[in-house]
Amino acid sequence: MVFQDENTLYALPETLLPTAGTSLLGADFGSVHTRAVFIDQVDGQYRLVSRAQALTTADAPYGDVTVGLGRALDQMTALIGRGFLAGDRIAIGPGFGAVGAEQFVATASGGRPMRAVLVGLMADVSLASGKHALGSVYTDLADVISIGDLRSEEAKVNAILGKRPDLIFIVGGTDFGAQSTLLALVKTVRLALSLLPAENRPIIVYAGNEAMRETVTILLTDLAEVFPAANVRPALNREYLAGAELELAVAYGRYKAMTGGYRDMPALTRLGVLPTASSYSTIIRYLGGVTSGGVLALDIGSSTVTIAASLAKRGYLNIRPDLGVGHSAVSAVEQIGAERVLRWLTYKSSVSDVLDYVYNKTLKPATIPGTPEELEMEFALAREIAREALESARRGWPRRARIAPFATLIGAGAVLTQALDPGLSAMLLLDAVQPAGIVRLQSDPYAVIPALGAAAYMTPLVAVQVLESGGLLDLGTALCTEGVTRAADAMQIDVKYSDGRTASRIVPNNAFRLIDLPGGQRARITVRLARGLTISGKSRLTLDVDGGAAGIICDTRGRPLRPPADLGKRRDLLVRWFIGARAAVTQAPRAETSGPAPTDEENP
Amino acid sequence: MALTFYPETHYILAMTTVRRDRKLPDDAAAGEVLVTERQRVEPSTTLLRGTRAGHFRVVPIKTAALGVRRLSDIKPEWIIVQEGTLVRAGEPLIQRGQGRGARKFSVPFSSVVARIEADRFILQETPETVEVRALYTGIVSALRSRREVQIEAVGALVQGVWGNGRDTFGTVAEAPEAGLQSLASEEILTTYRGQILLTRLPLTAQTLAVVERQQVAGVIAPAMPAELIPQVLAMNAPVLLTEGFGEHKMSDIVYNLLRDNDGRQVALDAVEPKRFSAQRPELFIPLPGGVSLPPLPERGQGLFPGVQVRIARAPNAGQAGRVVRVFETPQVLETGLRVSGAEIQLGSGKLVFVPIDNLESLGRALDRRR
Repeated sequence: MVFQDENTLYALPETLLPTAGTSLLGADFGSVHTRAVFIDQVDGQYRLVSRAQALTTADAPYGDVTVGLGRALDQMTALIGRGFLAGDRIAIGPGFGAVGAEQFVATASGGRPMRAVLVGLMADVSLASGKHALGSVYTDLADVISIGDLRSEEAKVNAILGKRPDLIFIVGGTDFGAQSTLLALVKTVRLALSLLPAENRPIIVYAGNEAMRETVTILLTDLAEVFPAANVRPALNREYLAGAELELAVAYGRYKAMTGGYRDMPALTRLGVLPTASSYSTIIRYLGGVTSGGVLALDIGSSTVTIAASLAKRGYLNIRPDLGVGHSAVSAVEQIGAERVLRWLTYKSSVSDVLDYVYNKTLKPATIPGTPEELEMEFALAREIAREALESARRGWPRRARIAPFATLIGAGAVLTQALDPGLSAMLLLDAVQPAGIVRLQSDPYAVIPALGAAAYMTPLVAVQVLESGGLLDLGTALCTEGVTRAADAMQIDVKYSDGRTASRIVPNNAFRLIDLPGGQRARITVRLARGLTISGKSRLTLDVDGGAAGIICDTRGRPLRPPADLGKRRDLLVRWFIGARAAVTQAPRAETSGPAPTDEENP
Repeated sequence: MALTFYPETHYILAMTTVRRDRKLPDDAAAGEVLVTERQRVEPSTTLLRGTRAGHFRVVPIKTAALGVRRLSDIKPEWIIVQEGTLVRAGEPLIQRGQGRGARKFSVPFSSVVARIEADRFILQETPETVEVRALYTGIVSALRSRREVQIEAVGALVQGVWGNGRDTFGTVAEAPEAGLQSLASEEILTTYRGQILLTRLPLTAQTLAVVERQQVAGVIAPAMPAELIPQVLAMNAPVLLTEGFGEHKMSDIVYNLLRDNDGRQVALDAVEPKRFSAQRPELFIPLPGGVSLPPLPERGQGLFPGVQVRIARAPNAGQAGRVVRVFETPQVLETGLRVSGAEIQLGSGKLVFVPIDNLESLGRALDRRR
């Protein structure tokens, strides 16, 4: 497994590397749920054996994540019969026999993000790179101090003290360039640190001029813990983020260990608590390296949306801690506007209704929709949140890559993965990303990516083998048309199954349809499109496609998706899409190939 | 081994012992504790006094004031303050010589000396005093630190879902059945002034206007439109919502408990829920305890037959009931979602299936209360 590309090279210090073992327990602490996965060797291959979840117990009245983790492990024990506790402690390490696991990894996306102050020189040089690096961990950027900052030293000190940061991230200067300006800023940081009570002092990550690394460390180390990293901007025209991202991840783990609920974690894992988003980044970079075409993972959580992309073999990570369908639902609607949510509803609703919904969701983020109307609202919110997150992520991608089609889309988070059925998961993912062309759709209903990304630091084979053995759920292959047609029927598709059977289907224009092709199977399809429509620039194509839980997904709705403003028309259309996403067309009998292809109306 | 589910907890308890940590705000420095352990306190008792840190000021030393040319000419013994010294405006920080001819470098404002450096003083402006009241009637059960005191109290506890960040203590008076709008007439005005209004109906812009005119001490309501949040946050009187935002009515279990304690004093702590804070709004009715203390609320109660629960979302939102059966395998909801859940017997006797995620335990198993 290659966890490196031109921009990234992971190298954890030897002291942090745990001993490799054959079984692995992973825990991902989200804002709402703690998800545990157990991976073990089966016939010499690492396999996902079991998973479970319980409510996260990081905050009062528990203030201890191991309570929720223990409950999830109890569930796992009930499911597979394997115990994970030795007394009242989680059994990690060799010597427990058939109890527990040999390795443990922990990731977290829940809880308060690190409040960060970024210190650097130029806004569009080092500070820009600093912001990119900060985007790899859960941070709330509270202030930026730079040479362009016209505040007095006194005001800067008060700003740092007033913001009470958990992290001060210092960047600036090209390697072995001028030092005096950055040094003055570091002295301001030192003054602010000296005025803070020792227990309130932030962690310092320094990723500036390499030549100043020692000076900065000496200057600050008696006041705070300093994590030196490689310069994020070693040269004016070169950005290097991997070193800083790694140190920020370690700093995040340290921050988590200092916040009450995670205090037992260091005893269980020497890696510390890693940011969940880093795992997505690692796994997507790997998948991008071994598949052709771009790969994108979209994780819609309660408090955060994470987008990890691999474009032209290069990884991009974007975290939006202000977007989510639970804790962040209110701030999400403040960003996207309630009107954008309303355009996905089939019933009469108002801005006021959307606000009531999201405020209630923020108050009770663990609850799930109890009525069809609430479910529609939840899905509408998820679609628009994903659109918003993608728009901001795209701004950080290279210009050419912004329009490049993704070959693989992976959905994560309960709203995308625990929808009614796989067809609906597929539709929500397509609605959110709105890709064109041929796209393989997968989801992570077992929340295995966080554990695999963390495990990759010590046993990369775990990630490789679990991904290859169905760790992710294949939803199927989506065929998404581009262009406009006036024809009533948009697509004719002939399917030749691997057992020799064939089927032929006609998909109407502006429709969403599923054709049965189970996971693990391949089929050869021939697609003919109506005038004006293309897929990957072609109006007729033959290709082999992989199946999945939803099968072959035919999406002739065009791009961008625009549900009608008129409520009646919108209801008719969205209901048709919804029905299409829920009813897989079963494999056609062999005889069907001799007759005319059935139209959509004949489909169940 | 059977699967055990642990729902969220939402305390609604007719008789319990609560322990509440009353502490100085995070941005306040530790101060003095004004009570002793086991001391009986009333809602208005001041427990803690601290200071909210003032801004830091960088004050360069002016050599001319001391009659010297260079900073290096200043002798250490001339500096007459230390770090931590409280100085008043006009008092000297550095003094050269004695008597009327003495040369002084004085502080321009009252402050605390935070740091003395070779060329400057870092001074912290005089901090603002912050006090914390008991709010609960009870005893001081623990002195945790110079910024935190624990109060133990016995009574009824109702957790709310939202508050506007205010607190008060007073008597509850129920709003007329016709709604708060009917309070507009002047003759009723004095009836509710200074009292905590309890209404079963959701607040509206109209009823809020009435509430403000009546100068009530606080409001307990089931719900209100989220659009009213800015207006309610600006009110001086605490407002606590028991159900949420929208059109919800007050659930029977909450209303009945409050009505049973009609005329009693209530501590209304309408904490505004913050994303990364575990503090929740609540109202507490102090009641006379027996020989022994009633049990503390149970946290993290597993879901078993007999446990009393409340339904957190539609349909049946706000209704309380008792768990009849917990399903280990997922069931299909009206929405089509397949979820783990439990069969709940509502107060009316009706049986409903509710997802685990939409259940809240009330803090004590019904069977154990009996």
